[in-house]
Amino acid sequence: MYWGKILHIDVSERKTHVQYVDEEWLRKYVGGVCMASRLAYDNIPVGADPLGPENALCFANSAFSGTIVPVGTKYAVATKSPETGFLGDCLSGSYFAAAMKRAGYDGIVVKGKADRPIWIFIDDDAVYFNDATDLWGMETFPTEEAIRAKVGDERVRACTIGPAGERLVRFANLTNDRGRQAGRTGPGAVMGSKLIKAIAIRGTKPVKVADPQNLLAMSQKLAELAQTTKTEKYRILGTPANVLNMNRLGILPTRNYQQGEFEGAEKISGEYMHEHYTEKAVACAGCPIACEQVTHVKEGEFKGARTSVDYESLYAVGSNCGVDSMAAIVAAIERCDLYGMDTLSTGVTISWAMECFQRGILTKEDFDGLEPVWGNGKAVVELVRKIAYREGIGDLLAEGVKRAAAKVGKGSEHFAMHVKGLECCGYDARGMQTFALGCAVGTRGPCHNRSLAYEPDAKGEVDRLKAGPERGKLAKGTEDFAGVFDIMMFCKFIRGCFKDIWSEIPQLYTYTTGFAMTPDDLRQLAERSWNIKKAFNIRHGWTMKDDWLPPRWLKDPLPSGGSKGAYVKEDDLRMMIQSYYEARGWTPEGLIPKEKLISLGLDDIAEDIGV
Amino acid sequence: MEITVEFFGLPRRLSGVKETTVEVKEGATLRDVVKALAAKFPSFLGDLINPETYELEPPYFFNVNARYVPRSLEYQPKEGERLLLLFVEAGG
Repeated sequence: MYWGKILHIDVSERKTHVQYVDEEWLRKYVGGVCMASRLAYDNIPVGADPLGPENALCFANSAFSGTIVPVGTKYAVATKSPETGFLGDCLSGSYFAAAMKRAGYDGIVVKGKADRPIWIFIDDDAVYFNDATDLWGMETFPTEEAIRAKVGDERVRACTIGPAGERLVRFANLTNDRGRQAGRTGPGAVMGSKLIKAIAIRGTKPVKVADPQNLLAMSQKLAELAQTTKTEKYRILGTPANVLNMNRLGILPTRNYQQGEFEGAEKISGEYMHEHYTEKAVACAGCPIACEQVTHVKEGEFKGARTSVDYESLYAVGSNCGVDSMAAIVAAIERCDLYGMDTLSTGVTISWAMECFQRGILTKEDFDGLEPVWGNGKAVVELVRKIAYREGIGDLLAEGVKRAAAKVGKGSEHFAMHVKGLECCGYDARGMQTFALGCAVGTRGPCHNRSLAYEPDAKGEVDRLKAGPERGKLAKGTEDFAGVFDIMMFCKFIRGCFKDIWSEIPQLYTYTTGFAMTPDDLRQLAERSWNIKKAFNIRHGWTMKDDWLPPRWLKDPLPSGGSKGAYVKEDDLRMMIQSYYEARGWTPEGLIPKEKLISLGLDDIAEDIGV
Repeated sequence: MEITVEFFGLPRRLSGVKETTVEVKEGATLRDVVKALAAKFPSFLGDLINPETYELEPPYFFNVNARYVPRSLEYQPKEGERLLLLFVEAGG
């Protein structure tokens, strides 16, 4: 359901107002990343400093939040990323989204900068600006608990930052519901720059749907399917089940992407974790899958560490740092979660620093006496802390790998693994060339969650080690497919439970909102969303050179394993990028024709940036 | 001929082993391999292998030598090829 209301909060003035949006607007932007990106486009001025008061945090809910629809209770947040300078759009699941819906808002836009640390309390229609002096410095999970205790109501849900966000670590995240994160591109740094420790919500209004009977029937069917083999890997081992697969295919990032296979893979596998460390699996609000594997270290130097472990976090601080100690991995991830930092960016930045150490570019003195040799899990955990508190070398690494490499130089840019400033993810793109294209053109940078272009590679639709002119269409198709989930705010882990998303999701949407939607509407919606994101980037300075890959993926063949010899040839990459622009209906320079934007109902954006 | 099949995820969990070998005739297809696997590991039937069609349940599929994904179960593996029974999905 929709309320037709976007709450605007200006923390400089401590004022709020409600923007009323009509049915046409809601049908055009629907929710999730599309709505959040539109709000960002409208509310973040050209030239805005990502860490300045003019930047905005733009939250958008799902049409399904708080309803019975499985895995649909999620929110998106878009902002100008302090890592990339482009649009940073993130997703997070669970009760915070439901609370936003029950409070009566489809979206929330936060701007300005407070004069001292505050936490915002949205209590249905009322908004309070509270002093956060006593919360400042606190870690993420305790902050949410402290706010709940202050209000004295378990229904209060909060989106918080930790010490990393307070110190403007560029890849700081937002955390809600004890371990769900809007993780990538640094929204936590943006919130920290505004001196906002938390946004808490208590929503008590009923959430109504248009056709309860049909919605219930369809949701139940979906929930039943979500208990079958189609989601088995997520339910039993969680995403760490990917470790051995990726390792065997030779694309498990290892030692800062120097290799694609890791000799310690078995010891950091989902299977090993399940046997020795997994305590329980937990679920987000309204989720029948329960993928979140909560692990606990019961003995040794990291005794007591406890957090949920996903594949992306695991590879980043594990194989990519040469670490085969699951205990150290759990401890590093737990620290990231509590400090409020993106585990991927943290791990990839640390692995870059470790390679600098390997090559003598950085020394023991630079690391304050630490010896970050590959596999030194204790050093990795300590570096996580140093980054969060910007202590010693942590101050450099807190800037992210792009800025750190630019400062250190000495050839370290060659192995600074980022695109547009966002650190790479857990699939070595040299062994998945369609995904390499997806990484290059991704609006927020290299992302397995925005581009599912690894699927045609991995499932054999194409030869994954070779490029081809058909990849543009494939990359666009997988982006649009992913976009549907990110707009409707379905967790992608349920995608195998749909027979045809293009017909079934519109049905769910209509049963929920009462707004008719056709498969063609949904296709156009996905395309509209990608074009808004690209338009934001163009408006904020994007040029063709930003769609490129790190030198290592272009120059260094994978040395061994299932993808031995693979690298991305520059000419191939140019060819694939052109095929992608063509598939999107963009110009050879990657700009968007006015007619294209007008055809998507984006006439005002056509005036701004259309060519 | 003898075919080696490496297990990832569900088949590894159901079988309790990382890999196995099955004996099939020359010219056998992947579907014959699937039937041989089902005979060796009856627990595969249902969750992993459709007991009527002997199709693999999604998202599982075969990869040959970590390099090639056959389009169908009619593919005829060759002696010495290693089959990977796996899935690849991410997101969230």
